[in-house]
Amino acid sequence: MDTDREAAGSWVGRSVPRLDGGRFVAGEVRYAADLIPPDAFHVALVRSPHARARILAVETEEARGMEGVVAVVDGVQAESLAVPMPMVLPFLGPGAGRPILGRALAARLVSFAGQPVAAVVAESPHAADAAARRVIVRYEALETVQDTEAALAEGAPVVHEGWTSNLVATDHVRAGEAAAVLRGAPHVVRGELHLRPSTAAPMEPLCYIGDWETRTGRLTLTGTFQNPHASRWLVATALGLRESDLRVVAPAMGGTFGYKMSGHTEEALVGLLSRLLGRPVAYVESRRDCFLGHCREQHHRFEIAADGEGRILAFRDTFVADVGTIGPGNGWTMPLVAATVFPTLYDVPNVEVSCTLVATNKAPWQPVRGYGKEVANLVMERAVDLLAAELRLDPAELRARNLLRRADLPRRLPSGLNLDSGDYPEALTRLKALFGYDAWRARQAAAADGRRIGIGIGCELTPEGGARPGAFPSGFETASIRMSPTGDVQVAVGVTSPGSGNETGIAQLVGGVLGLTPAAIRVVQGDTDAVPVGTGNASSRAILYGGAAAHLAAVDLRAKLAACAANLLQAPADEITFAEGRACAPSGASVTLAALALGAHTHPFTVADGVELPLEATRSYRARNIRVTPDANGRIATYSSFPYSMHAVAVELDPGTGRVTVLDVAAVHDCGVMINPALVTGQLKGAIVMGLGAALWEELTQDGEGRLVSDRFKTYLLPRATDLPTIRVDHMATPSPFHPLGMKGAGESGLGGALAAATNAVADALGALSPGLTTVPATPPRLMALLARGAAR
Amino acid sequence: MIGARFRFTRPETLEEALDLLAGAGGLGRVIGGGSVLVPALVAGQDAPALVVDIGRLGLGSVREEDSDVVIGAAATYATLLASEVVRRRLPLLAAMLREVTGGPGLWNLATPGGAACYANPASDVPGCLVALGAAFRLASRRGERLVAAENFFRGAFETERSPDEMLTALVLPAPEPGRHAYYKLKHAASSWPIVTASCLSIDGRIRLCLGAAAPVPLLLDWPTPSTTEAVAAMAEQVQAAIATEWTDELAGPGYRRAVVPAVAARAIRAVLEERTS
Amino acid sequence: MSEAVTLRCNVNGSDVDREVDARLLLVEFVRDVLGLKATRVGCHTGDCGACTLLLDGAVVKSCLVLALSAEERAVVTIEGSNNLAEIQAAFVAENGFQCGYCTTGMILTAAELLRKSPHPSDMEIRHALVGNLCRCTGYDAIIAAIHRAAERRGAVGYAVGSRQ
Repeated sequence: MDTDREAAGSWVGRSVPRLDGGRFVAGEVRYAADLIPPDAFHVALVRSPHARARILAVETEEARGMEGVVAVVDGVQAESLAVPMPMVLPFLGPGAGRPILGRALAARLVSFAGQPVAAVVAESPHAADAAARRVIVRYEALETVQDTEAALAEGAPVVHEGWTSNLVATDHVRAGEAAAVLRGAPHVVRGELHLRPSTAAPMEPLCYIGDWETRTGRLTLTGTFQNPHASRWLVATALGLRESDLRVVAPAMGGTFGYKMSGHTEEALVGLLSRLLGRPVAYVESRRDCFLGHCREQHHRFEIAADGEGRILAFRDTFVADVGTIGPGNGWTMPLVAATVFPTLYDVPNVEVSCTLVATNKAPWQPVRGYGKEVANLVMERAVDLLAAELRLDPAELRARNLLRRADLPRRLPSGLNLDSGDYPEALTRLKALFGYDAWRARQAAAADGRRIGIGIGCELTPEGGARPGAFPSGFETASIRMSPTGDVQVAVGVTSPGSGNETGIAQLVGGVLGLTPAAIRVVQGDTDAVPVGTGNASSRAILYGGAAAHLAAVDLRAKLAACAANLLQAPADEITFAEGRACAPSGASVTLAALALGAHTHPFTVADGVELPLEATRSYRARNIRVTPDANGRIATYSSFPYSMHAVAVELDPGTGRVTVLDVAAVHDCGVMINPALVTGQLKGAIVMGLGAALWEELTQDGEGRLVSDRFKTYLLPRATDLPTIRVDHMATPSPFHPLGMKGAGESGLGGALAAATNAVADALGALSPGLTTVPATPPRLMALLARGAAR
Repeated sequence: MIGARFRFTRPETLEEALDLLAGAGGLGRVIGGGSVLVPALVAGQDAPALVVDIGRLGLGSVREEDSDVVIGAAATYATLLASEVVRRRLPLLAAMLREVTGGPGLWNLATPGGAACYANPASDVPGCLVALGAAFRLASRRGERLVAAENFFRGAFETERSPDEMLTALVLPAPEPGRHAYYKLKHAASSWPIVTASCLSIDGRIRLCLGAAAPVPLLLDWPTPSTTEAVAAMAEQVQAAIATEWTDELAGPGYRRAVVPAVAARAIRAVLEERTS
Repeated sequence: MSEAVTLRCNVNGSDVDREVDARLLLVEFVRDVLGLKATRVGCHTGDCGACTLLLDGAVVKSCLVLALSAEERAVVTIEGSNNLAEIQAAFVAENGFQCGYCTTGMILTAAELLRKSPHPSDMEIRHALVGNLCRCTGYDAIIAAIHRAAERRGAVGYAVGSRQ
């Protein structure tokens, strides 16, 4: 392990600027919509205004006759052209095998408002849009279920055809005897939390381009594919293609945050239409439709108990998530992940978590950064804060008393996940210093009459490196490295970049092994014809898994190069070192890698004597700390790594308006060994701001019929520059004992902690009214209603 | 992208523009900056037959006419923000302009005249113009008329302007600048205004116009108060003056009404405190 | 029903004369007709700022502008801006972007700010960026980049204006 780290050493921990930065800032990077061929047809979707309805007729005559219109395809016709996309993750519910919504166009029944029922294809997006408005769909509106209570009620309409109920899945996580302890503990606090729906909202919406080549019978899909290989599998299945006849290309992505994971039915639709029409077909999602991709809506009821010394004795959470309809994507599984994270970073002997996932007539959930973990952290942190109030203890002090100690790790969570390493109390101590916790408390106490300053802490545990059995692919990533005759190094990896800059980190790892600069390494991602099978981007795995695989491949290549150098320099191979583009012998003699590469290719019997050519290597990294054998509680471990972070937020609550101003934000973060600290900081700050948005402003709203109301950035409120103070962050780096390079993964961390800290800060500002804060986000109208209730008392 | 077709014109003269509008019946639309009309066209919420761009009509300037300041209908937020005349003679308007969000990409494009004609209750401009006693110069082939701001805003998204009329200018009486305050409440920078208060001290009286709280701006007027209690009472009166509360997706029933006293009191206090400082 | 109309304007210093559909937005004109892809679409409602370009020397959100409104006017996209080197370098040095989708709009907006205010405060920068959404960075790195660019420009003497 130590030699591994040493080998990667020279560029690890250095904040190398983004390799292709110049192209980004010049606007030369190309995103999917920039690559739509000039001769492409464009798709506009006709969407249902009803949340549940029978389709009686789709009248397309007028639309077909309109200028520029090439075809109008309805759900019935689409059924004859493709089978449903399979699910990314296998269905876990009690009635496994029941059908799900895997089709791009509804044929007989629509199950959510906004569901596509017909596709208009035209020569321009304008013509397609105009014609889509003229497709007349006759519906018989049916009774809908818009919340989980209604969905679970006796005799409720069943959302999915062929199902017998709306129950999607349940899980129960237990350790100890939570129920009994909660009955007898000296201090017990109960609370609840409603999370309203929110969404990832990347700046670039979805875009898919299908290009069917009739001559070869091959389909190329170019688009916003966060998981190209998974999409290749889903689309090839839907269209009845051999996977090798489908190439999925993911160019630069304008942010994903989970939203562009595979399973959007439009991925298959553009392929279907291109094959039908013999021309490239492009679908570009509108911002409005991007807001259909909701998630996080759930209701938690929790209890937490402590003894007189402030030791947490038990925690219980029962929650119900409204996961909408189930599509091919995996968004609906996020509450199942949430359940596995409790009791986060705390030493709690008795835990019980029960979750129920319920289908309703809403769009499918789309994945979002945090992937359920942010919700677990929010709930746990609210519970701890309510307990602190009950115990009249400072919330930071209560946390300090209950955080797991460094020596407690590794530690198995009740869910079976195995915490790796860290120093949680030290991180909290550093956070208090960085934030100026005591000074903030003093400022709060000194606040003039009527001013409500609130201070909140959020401790976050973010399991990463997800490797759920049954998922595709799962638990491993692969890299292929090759050196050309001129010594050019290319590394192809199955992980994609969502725009995070992970290609720079991968180049740093490879460059370090080979004694080259990161700029000398070409990283290839996002093309199923060019890279080994891989997951793409998910669960902070790009460097954690993809970087580790690239590192292994680079070590193998270095061994070949060392053997070649040994031949040339007449020195033992294990004494060859690599630096500054040269292979060096102990004698001081050296050769450039370019000369070595040319020599190996042109003089295989001498320079490459004893070396298996070509100068290539493919290696896979398989995660450790994953356990597929159930433990005594029947639990497995589906996450390998456990970065964590401690957050503090100060807010001011305006008692006259309920408006919240964020005054200060600080975080201390530990993702183990960092390859590029500046890029990690960038990820962390972005996640923190998403957490603040989710806590205070971001909420998707629907009318009573399930139709989207918050359909633009003036009604779904993303944080803007003036909403935020400068965010202060610091890093610790406790290596993971389960990773060859000590890494834990970065990218998701920060959202849940900031969400929790900001929510706790608002609650703190509410003072005695804080138990009333039961809905997230804490919008001004909700806070005003609480303040008014307080005033009326 | 816009689906429905329309005819676009960019006339050189007002006469031509008015002829075009008159000929379009109710299906003509005037475009200034485009920040309202273009998204509506993209969303398919509006499908005009004719769009008249006023960019060449020379309506983009700000000038002093006698005791008035005349702001052309095509004058952008940026033009007004940079205007010495506005800064000197209409400090309340300048204060409002500084609070408009959207960034330079919007300020360089959008016009207060357009915002007024759109008459979205949740916007900055209407309340401020009513507070300032602005008048709207409307031109059509039938002639020109001047409509006081109080009469111009007839309801949410509804104004006195007829489809064949074009706003050519805002006329603002600009006496010696008095004390003023503009207070705006919004959830976050992304949201549109939730409640605005434009407040002026004129001739020993306090004039306050509440925006965004009701379908149209509400104008109130009092003698200058001398006590904190009096300010609180005024703020209560503002709240009581809301006959119909404006609600939208960001602020449902009850919220705007609940926050109005705080918003009104802050604006009034800001005007009073400015006097003492 | 109108068909194509002639649009004459100047784009990045060159006179352009094209038949266009009246429905075309300015952002569609530069992207789809002229192939200048650095100007991007994020919302179509004027809220996100990804489509920022210069019209007659001032930044505008080009999804709010009908292409025909640019008649006889000067359009400059980042591809045609020749005085952004310090700002661009500062964005790279400070990691003032991640996915890069909003970045060209951010840089053009930053350039306009620095033209008007060569040494802006934090609050001035935040105020100037209020119309440009970034979902990746949390803005701090963008603000740091603009400060850095201001310092560099101050050091070398301030160069005026973009080409118009």
